[in-house]
Amino acid sequence: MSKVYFYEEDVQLADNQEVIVRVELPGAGTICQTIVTIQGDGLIKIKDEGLAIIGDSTKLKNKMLYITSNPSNLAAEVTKIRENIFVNDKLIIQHQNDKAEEKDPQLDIEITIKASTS
Amino acid sequence: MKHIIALCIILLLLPAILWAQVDIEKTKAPGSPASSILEMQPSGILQPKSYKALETALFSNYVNNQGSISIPNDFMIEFSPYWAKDPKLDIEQYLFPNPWESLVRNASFSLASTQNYYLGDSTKSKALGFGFRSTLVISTNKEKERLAKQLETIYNTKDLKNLMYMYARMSLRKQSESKDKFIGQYLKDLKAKDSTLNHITHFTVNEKSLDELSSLLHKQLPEYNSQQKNDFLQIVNNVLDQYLKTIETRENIELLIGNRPGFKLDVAAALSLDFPTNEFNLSEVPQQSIWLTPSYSFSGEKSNIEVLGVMRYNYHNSNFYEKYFPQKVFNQHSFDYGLGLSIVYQKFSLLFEVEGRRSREVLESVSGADGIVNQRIRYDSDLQYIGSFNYQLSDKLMLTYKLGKKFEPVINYDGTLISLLSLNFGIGGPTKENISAKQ
Repeated sequence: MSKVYFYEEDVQLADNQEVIVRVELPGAGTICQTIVTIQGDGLIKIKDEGLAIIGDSTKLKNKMLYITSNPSNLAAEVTKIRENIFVNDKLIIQHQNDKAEEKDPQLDIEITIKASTS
Repeated sequence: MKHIIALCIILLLLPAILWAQVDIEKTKAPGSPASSILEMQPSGILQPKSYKALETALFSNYVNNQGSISIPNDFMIEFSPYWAKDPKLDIEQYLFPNPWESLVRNASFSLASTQNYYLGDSTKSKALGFGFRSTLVISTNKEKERLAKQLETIYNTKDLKNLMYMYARMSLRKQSESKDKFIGQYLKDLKAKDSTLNHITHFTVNEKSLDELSSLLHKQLPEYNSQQKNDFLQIVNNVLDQYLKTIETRENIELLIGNRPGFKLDVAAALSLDFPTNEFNLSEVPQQSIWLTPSYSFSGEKSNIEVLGVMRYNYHNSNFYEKYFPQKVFNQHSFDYGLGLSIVYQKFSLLFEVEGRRSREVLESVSGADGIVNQRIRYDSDLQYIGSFNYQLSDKLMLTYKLGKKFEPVINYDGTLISLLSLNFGIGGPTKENISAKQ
């Protein structure tokens, strides 16, 4: 059975910004399905690499962004599975695991959107 | 079962006649040309994945503590320059390269070394082997369509699993009082009219489709404890893997990718460098080889047919062999060629190979006063053919029968007929590839 990797992070965003979640798959031969939701209201899907526009940062303050993702790598030459998740171009999650450890990882990610202090 | 036991006893009682032969497996482009040209099996193999790791591997194995060159025994380094750069390729680019791209991606260089390169008088000398290998691949449109269809299946499975896992997360937020209440909430959310699952074309949400899921959840989930939320979700994830067969789907496509039909051309080259006195101030190049192995594979649902041609050119350095192997006869140029046909149908496989050898040696070369060069040349040619019938009795047991004619050996000529019946068993399970009449 596959292993779940749990992540909990915060991200600080200035007010009145569009919140954009972007998935990046470094290297060769990785496939992935990702779902993004704000506390269960509406699900946005991303296939492989792509982005999801979530909403306005002012309205999303202190709300929880839930992301689930299940990357797999089909290239025999590659030994690691890697996935990066950005919120407004800030690298929030940098996942990497050896295929020898897990070939079908399930990522369970909670990101709290906070107001920027600057 | 009684027949198998009787067969085993007969095979044990009969004298085993072992034949040394050059079979098509040895003539095919080798996995490691560098160790193949030294005729050694490396006991240590390094495959560095970056240039930095390559530098470390070379320095730590080929340079001793005093800073001078050393040659490790039965050791090999293999390096693929393309993959060392960590290239960025999406799945379509990875699976369907053009022929030139496949040649570049599959290129690898190997360096092998041994301290047991035997000369004619049984002295051991140190030697290095340098090799290059690559494979050109041309896929058929049918194969591309088949892979694309399997890719769609895995994407759909991942999509479904992700959705169902996300629903589990949300349901746990709403109802975590007990395991039963969570399961009730979860199934209710999955079946809800506005559920995203209702909009998926590759899955039907109904009582029947969710009955099995419900049963698995009830059986495997423990009572919910908020302190162990992650462990609880891990088990939900395990149940979804079983229910949706996610791992089998990924393994199926990996199998398809690993056994792709279509045309392939394996190319390889190698040369050996010997230090006959074990000092680095004297070195000789005894042998150089080039291999070409074109093959075409037809793959069906239950069967696989492969046709392959093999060509190998060997150059033996006459000066080296005359000096260090004075008792043996070697041909300076030799050319091995062959055709093979392999058919696999369920547990049964058939392999038929024909191999020829042509060699040429200049015995004497005399220049006349008129400038004309007269040469005395020896030509040799030989042919061998062998049919191999294999039946997989079980995962660990294979019955094999080989019949054919081998090359005429240089010394100890005692016939060329091959007839070998064997029962092979192994821990990893034997395959027709690793059974050879060479014992």
